[in-house]
Amino acid sequence: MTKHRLLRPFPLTLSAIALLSGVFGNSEDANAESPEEKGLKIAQSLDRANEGYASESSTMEMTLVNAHGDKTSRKMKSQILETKDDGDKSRIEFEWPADVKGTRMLTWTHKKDDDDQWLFLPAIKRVKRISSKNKSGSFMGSEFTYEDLGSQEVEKFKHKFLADEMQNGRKIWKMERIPTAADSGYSKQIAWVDREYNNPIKIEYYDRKGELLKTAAFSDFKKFGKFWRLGKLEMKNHQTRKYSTLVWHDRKVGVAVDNALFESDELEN
Amino acid sequence: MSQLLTPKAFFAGGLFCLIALSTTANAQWAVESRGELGLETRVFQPDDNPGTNDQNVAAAARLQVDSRKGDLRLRFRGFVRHDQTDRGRSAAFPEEAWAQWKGERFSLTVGWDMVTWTATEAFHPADVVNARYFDSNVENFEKVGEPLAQLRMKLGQGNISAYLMPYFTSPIFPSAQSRLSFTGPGVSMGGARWLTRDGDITRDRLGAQWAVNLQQTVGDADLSFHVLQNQDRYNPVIGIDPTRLEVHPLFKPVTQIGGTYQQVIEGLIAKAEFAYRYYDRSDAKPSPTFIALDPRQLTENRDHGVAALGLEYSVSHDIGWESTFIVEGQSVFAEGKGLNGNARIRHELNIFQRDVMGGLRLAFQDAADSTLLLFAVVDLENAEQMFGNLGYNRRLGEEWSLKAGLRFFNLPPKNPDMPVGFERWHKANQFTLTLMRHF
Repeated sequence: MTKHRLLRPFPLTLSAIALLSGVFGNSEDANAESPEEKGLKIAQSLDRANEGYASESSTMEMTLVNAHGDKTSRKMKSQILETKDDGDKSRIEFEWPADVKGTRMLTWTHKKDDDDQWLFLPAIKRVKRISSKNKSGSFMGSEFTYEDLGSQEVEKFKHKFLADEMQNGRKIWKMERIPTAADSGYSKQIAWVDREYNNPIKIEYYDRKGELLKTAAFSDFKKFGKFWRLGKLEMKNHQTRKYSTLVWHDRKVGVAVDNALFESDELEN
Repeated sequence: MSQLLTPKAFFAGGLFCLIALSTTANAQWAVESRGELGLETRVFQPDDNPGTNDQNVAAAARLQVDSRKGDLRLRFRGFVRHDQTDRGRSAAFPEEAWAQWKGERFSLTVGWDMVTWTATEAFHPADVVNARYFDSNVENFEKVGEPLAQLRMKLGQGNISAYLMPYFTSPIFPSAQSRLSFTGPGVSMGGARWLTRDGDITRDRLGAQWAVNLQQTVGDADLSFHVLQNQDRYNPVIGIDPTRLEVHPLFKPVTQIGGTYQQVIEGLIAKAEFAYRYYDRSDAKPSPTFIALDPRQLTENRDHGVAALGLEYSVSHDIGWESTFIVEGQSVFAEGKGLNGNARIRHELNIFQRDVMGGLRLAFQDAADSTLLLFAVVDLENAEQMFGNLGYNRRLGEEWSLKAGLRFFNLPPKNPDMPVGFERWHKANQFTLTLMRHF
């Protein structure tokens, strides 16, 4: 299953639209369904379409820009392992800033339960279990939260199809996702999903009061085998005027990775 | 550097580093490095004692070099501190200097290493393999590398490790001028003495120490259990060498069984550590070079258990900040009547013999990673005894960081004329400021 997308952000659960023509034909064929039923079917088919990538690795550079335009950067390495019966596993190693170099985070995502997470702190050589419950916390001081970058299992949202649209000559589905977790930082998300890329090209995030909080823009898509992956993600916070970008380098999909790396007791290695 | 710990060990570690670096000539070895250089200042509340240093200014550095080729890995990580105002506080020691072969199910590591068996934040009864540098933070003393060989085997959702530790590594004690000295102003702690299982008191550092540790992840919980037989570096018997009029610590052989537990329960992280220590029953043979100040420490039954429990919970605030609340408690269970056992012995065994800690970590979630840490530890049996800390740290740009802290100790001695152990830290209140360059 392809749900865990920590740092392979966003769209995997909304990401199999290339195969959707086979599932839904076109949207008119599905008019008999309620928007909720259609939204769920789309999400499930996107999920299935991304099965089989096996593993993925990449390096990432994140740039944080404050309201005055000052920039700081973060660098990290990511490895993801697809699992058969549950959410995926990911391992991230932080490389920059220098004071967090060597810090590693392991996440086992689950379809319904909260994710399991561990952090390795190199200064004290300790593997510490951490809670994934606090979803709305900032990821490394950026505009991304753990919820944005974490597990996006189909079961963790209520889905609703909103409309078919065209943007820049590309076929788009407009979708609504409402997080089922009571501790989510969002009341809802509106996603514009590109049918060819099997990924959103834009998501709007609404805070718990229903106000527009952030907008994510996805770009620089590349195809790896049958899987499309984005190359750049920009998250703008409308309330603080800060924004953060995440750029992927050296992405490899389907390469062999050592399964043992995704065990908590291997984090110090 | 009078406190230079086991110079041979350190320089052997340095040599190891050079060998590791020399391998970089072969392009097949992947090499990574990181480290930090820091300027540390520490100012104590004056004690009006000309024999102590109320201010410290020191430079500190830590370097780690990793080299990897196929199944082989080499690591060197060393720490150096040079205190300009108290040369006795200066120290240099290897934290890690090992070679490792790692196969699919087994790994073998040989060299100096840090072994971490802990779950809680402030109290660490199970985490006792390494000697500590006692002129650092009491709730997390820095570890000195332990020479060992470790054979590890993957087992279930975790591993089982066997350790052999053939060399007794002594802790590094604060200097005679330090406000954190255990021996009082002007009195240096001399070299370590070791009590063998035959009852001999020796300076010989070679001997058999071993441990086995089982670590497993079971659902939402991480568990570990261990058996350890080594020299206990946490409850020294203090004595005098009458031939030289020097003070020395004597470390006794101990067998420890213990374990750790961490589990996430609905966002709450529950933690526990426990250890039970059996001391060797052999009576110490009289030694012409060591006379215990309190002979009961050698003759009494000091077997004891220590248990620590903790809870941690984090909440995010609408303004983006994140608060983490931490509550922990620790209790010592000594031999004697009832569960509490002998109260005097419990107090002598551990500064945290029945204590609770409350803490708050406030992360501002900004680009500088600014964090405020506030905690206090209170003795439940004597509320007068407490210490606390208010710390702030942040990044300055992408390579520098700043740490500032206020720490207070209220540990009034039972006998004001003869404070013992940590009672000597009473009123050693301090302000610390550290500027660090990371690379």
